[in-house]
Amino acid sequence: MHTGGVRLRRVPVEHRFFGLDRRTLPFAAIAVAVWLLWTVVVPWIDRAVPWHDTIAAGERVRLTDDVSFAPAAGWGLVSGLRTTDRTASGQKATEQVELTNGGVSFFAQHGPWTGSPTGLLRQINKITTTSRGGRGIQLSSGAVTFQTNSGHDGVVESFRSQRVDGLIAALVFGDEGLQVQVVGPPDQLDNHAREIEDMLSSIRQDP
Amino acid sequence: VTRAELDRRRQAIETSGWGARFQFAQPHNACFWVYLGLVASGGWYVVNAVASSGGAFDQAYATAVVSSGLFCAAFLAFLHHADRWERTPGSLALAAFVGGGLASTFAIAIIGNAALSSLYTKTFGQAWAVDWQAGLTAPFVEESAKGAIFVLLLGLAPVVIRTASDGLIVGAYVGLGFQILEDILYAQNSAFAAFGAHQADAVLSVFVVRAIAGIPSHALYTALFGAGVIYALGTVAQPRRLARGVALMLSAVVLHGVWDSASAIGGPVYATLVLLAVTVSSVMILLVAIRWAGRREREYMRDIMAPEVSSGTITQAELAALTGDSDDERAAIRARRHGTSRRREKHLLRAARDLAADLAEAGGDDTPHVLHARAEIARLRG
Repeated sequence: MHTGGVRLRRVPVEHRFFGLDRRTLPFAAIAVAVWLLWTVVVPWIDRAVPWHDTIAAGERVRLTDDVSFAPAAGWGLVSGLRTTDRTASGQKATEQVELTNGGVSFFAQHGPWTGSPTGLLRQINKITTTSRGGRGIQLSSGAVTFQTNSGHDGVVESFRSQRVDGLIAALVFGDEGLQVQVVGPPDQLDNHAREIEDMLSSIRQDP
Repeated sequence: VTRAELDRRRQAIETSGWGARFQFAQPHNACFWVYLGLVASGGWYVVNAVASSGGAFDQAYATAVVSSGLFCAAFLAFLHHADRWERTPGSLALAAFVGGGLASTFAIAIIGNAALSSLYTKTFGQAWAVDWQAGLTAPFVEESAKGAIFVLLLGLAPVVIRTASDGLIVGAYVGLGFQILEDILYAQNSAFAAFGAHQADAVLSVFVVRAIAGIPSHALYTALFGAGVIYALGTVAQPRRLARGVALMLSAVVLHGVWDSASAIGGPVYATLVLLAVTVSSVMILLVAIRWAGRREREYMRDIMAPEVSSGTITQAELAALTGDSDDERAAIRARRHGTSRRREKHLLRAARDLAADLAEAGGDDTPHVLHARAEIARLRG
């Protein structure tokens, strides 16, 4: 009967290295090298590469295949496709859109939803406040209705936590729900309040 | 039975590592500690991810565990059937599954995928990244992450994992673990994408798509990669064949990459054709790899069981069936002794495989298990 591992109680002296079997080191080193590459080296390079994908005046970003909005000029596009972007796959919009400016994050996500905007906001609040990161969130006294420039109704509610403030907006276009979350430090939110309002108002269904 | 036959049997058992046992806890083995570290790191990530959802996605997780469990059970049954030469020890299969699921997915791939995707977006822009980042990230990060776990297992079980066939099976277990745990991650994503409403429906729709398109899966990619590692490194039982090894490892990366880039390659019209082409290519490459791997295993089986023909335990046709393909098995069934049913002859062949396994475990000696296995064959002959 023979065994599958190097399971001798004592490693032969010529193979001993700080109590380990020297013959096993190359295998372990390969695995450690792969781990280092993907969890240390590549993330380090990623952090070192500067990021600048700034929104220019007049550009629009798609929130769904047929809904877009006009981000404020100067905001950075973290993820999302502009209406002028053309992909080989024919994909027009990403599942999530994220922009950032001065510590404020504008995040939008779409998905199937057949109910009302109020129902969608209630569902979003339920998920957001249940998860651990959202437990410290205090919602405002109630949601208010807002209207985009194209006349589409949505609901918006503000929230406050220990470190950040923000708002959650919900809109429904056909069978598609759209949530927008804007989060940031209170002073930065105040600085960008006008831009955020304009961005929400610019959401429209394209012909 | 000649002395030469018995010597060849002992040599085959010694070289092949058939019947070798696997001991997981090896404090003197560096691979043991690296494996534990990576699994602990991945496990910690999963516990935190589930805990941080605070119960918001419990229904999604439950649905994912049940649906993925069913997929896993079906795949395990297939692997058990495919593992016809030397049964992979259960503890090694479990170590491969857990390492593939927790360590490669959550300790390596999830971080590498995010960093590389971000780099692509910064370098080539949003539209390019939408098309190509999945296809040019996952194959490199994930195949190497799973490959790293396979190499650790190779360091932990150098006697058990010796042939390309071992590489295929153990690699498949690593890939299966990756696939199942990744499915659970996707479950949360799909539930989140649907605003946490109708979680079971959202998860099942994703699961059905992945199950239907499941042939070119992580299990298949890593099976090819594992066999490639064995050929590339070479072992006592498998002389080094670098070109073949690199070709198999590359095939796993390319198949994975083309699958993930199907929409960008085929566009909205031909994406399905690309997926179909990858599926067909995957099956063909796997069959070639199985055929290559089987040659050496057949030789070992022949050397181990040839003395049983000389001693009259099995017939020459049965030996040919054990070492051959389905045609040889049919020929053995046709050549069965008068009065033996087809069903009984199939049972005989299975009992002969049990004898081969017992002989390998006994190092060729006549242990009580070996004697019992021979007695079983005699009983089946009636």
